[in-house]
Amino acid sequence: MKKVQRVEAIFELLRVVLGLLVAYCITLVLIVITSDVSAGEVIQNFVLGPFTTPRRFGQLMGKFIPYVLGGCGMCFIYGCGRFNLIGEGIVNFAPAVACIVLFNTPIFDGIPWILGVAILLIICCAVGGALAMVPAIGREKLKVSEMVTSIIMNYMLLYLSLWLLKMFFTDRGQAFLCSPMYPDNGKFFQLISGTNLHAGIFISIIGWVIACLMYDRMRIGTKIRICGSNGMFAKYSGLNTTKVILIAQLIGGLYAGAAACVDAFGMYTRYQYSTLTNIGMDALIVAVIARKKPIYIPLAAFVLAYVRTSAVVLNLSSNIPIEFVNMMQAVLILFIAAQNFLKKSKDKVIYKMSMENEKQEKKGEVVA
Amino acid sequence: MAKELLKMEGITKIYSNGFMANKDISFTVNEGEIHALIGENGAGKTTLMKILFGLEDCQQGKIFIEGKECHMENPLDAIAKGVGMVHQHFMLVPNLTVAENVVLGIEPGPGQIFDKKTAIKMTEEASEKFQLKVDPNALVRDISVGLKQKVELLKALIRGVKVLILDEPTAVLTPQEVRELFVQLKNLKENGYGIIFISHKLDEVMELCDSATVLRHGRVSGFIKREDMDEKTLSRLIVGRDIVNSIEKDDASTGETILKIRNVSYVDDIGKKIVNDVSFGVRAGEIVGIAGVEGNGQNEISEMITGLLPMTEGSIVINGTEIKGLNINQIRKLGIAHISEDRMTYGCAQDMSIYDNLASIYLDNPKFIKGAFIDQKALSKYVKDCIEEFEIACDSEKSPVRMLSGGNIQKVIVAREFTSGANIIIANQPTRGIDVGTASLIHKLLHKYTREKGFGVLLISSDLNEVMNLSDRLLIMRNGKIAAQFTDTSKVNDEMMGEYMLGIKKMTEEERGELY
Repeated sequence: MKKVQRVEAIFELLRVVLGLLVAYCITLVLIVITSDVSAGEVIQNFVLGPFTTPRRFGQLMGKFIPYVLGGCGMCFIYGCGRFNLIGEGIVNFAPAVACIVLFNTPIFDGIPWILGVAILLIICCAVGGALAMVPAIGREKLKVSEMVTSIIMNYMLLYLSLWLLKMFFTDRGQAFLCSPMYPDNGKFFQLISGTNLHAGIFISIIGWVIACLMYDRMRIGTKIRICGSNGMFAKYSGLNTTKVILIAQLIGGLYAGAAACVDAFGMYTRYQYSTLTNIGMDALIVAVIARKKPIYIPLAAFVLAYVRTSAVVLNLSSNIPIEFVNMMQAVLILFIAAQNFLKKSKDKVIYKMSMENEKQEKKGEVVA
Repeated sequence: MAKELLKMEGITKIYSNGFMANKDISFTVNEGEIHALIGENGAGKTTLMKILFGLEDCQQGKIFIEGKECHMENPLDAIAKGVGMVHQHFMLVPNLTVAENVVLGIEPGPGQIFDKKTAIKMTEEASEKFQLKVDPNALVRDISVGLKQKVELLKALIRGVKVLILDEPTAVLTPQEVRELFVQLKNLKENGYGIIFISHKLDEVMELCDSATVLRHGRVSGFIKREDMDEKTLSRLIVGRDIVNSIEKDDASTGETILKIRNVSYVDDIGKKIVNDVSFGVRAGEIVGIAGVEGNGQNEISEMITGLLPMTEGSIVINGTEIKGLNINQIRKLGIAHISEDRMTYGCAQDMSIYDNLASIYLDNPKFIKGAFIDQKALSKYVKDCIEEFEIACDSEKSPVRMLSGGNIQKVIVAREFTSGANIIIANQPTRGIDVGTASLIHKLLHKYTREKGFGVLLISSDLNEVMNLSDRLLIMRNGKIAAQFTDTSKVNDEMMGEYMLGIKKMTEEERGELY
């Protein structure tokens, strides 16, 4: 049976890698066919684009940082078997609340950077956690689908954030809707100047380590995994499933809040979200690619950030619209989420292996 | 020579977890023959029949029906080609009438309109023709298990099948109902049907069948004609050795009553009283067995004791504490361990590792935690000890449970429940569907824990031999009530039990004696 386990592991990896490759090739071919850009140009911009200049690589890292945090959070939500997509709204709303504190109260006057950033992070996480509980409690107590509630709430939160922005901290001197510039103690500084690689990455690293520990080593992680794997078994084992599922979504909300914080105060110099950012949904994609395992989140986040950055680079350097490249992600998710992709080949390999085992055993018997 | 109806040749099936369920199996069924397919649980009987009925695909082998090679795409295809199956767990719609169930899928009537009258007539005609008496207007929900089986048989026969597969048809029947079934099957045989009779009850096979194919570990271990059948030969072919009864019965030295059930009732969603004012107790150091035809309230009792089902009325006291208002975790802490009837739904999370499955009830136990963290060292040691003590065959403790065989999964569950620190074990069908080796290990453990450690065990089983051999006290449930109690199980046989299970005989309260 040990061999079977190895085959399963190999096919699991193959599924992701092959899925990626197939999706990648399909997109490349489509781009070459439908546009007047030559194949060489496409490869240069799309495949290698993100690595050609420090600025572009910084752009990739700027996406990577919130993806790691959001992805870790989605592991917990998705791991307990609930599809709470509130992360999207949290990314807009939590920083807006933090901005009120930042611009409308004297708290930030003269405090050191580390303290300022900590306050921002705490506010964002608290808001994120609280928001995530709304669809979660609705589901557990009132049996309303958490997916529907959270998607509706995302739009509510977008407009609420815009209202907060207009009412409390808009910068009237600017031509577009935005807050004043963040003070130095209220933002993540650039690690390499002129790029988007900012100090938020430390929060991502810490967050990732905590998520890994929580998921695999702590009691709550095991409880969440049991609830997600078989709810009836969790109940039978004496776990308070409602409580565990709520905690899982609370953790997810906290992480979404952290992702919001590093994005809003790291990527930009002002609060300027006027649409949904898609970070919440991307976090779900990251968690799916990582197969709900926090340990693989950085890898998955990097892959997605890379794909997204290539799309932007290609878009900027040619006439191919960014939406086109977004299709590739759909293909990618299709392959990775498809449980039965490569199943037939896997079964064939296992069948062959078992037959060979059989023969060897027989030989052994004859010798014996 | 009789005409050959069905032939399976060289069937090989390997499941996607690498388990070889069938290896090069061949057998034939002739017209007017009852052919037994026997073997231990897990020997591959059910898989073989699933292949024949189009529920599973096989990698090698051929199927011939009346000499013509066939491939069964799905059950509908199989029925069209003349193969019908009566499943161990009936596939009937409880809220429809008998007639509606019988014609389900071949409904008569003009266009989309369902002609109920014709349906009833069809059912009556078939019922007459095959001498299977049923009331076409009764709701399936309300009829007995024996009747349900007749409905299943009618369902297959009305579709014109020639080969009938019966998967352990007697498992849910009382001895009297079994008699009746045998008469009907012999009747069908006279009419030229080919019947495949799956069972692991040797006496039934010897009485009913013309020939038998014995399977062991997914391979054919023997073919026997009726004249050569005897219990010893068959059992040797089945297990590869002679069966010895593993439990030496001795007298229990009982202590005080640790599990008290008083006037407990349960009413289900549709207002049916499934458990009706039941009172009994389990004392320390004894095994109390509950037998009964399935669906007479045994399962609900076990779920109420363990807190999975809220009781409608009454009180349950565990080690001196009333459980009303407590959650499952609190009930477990009072000293209850639970081996559930449905091991894949309640007993384990199949995608998780053995390690996680063993840990599931210890996540709040001070022995295995360090603050918010799990004490990996302590837990690892515990898991290794469990694997060793309970002889769980696995590569490592990190293997997912779904990779294990049924018997080994049950060992994981038993290991977790027996070592949980509880002193009362609710064992609901603890050996259903698992191999003889594991079953006898579980029997020995149940016996050992009651005798040496003073555990109280409530054993619910539909395997009459199991309850008779293990129980110190035997209760029989019928219609949600305790119909009988036997305090000396050595004087009980299955005929006697059957009479009480069917309600032919009744015990007065004096005859029944004290229930504790």
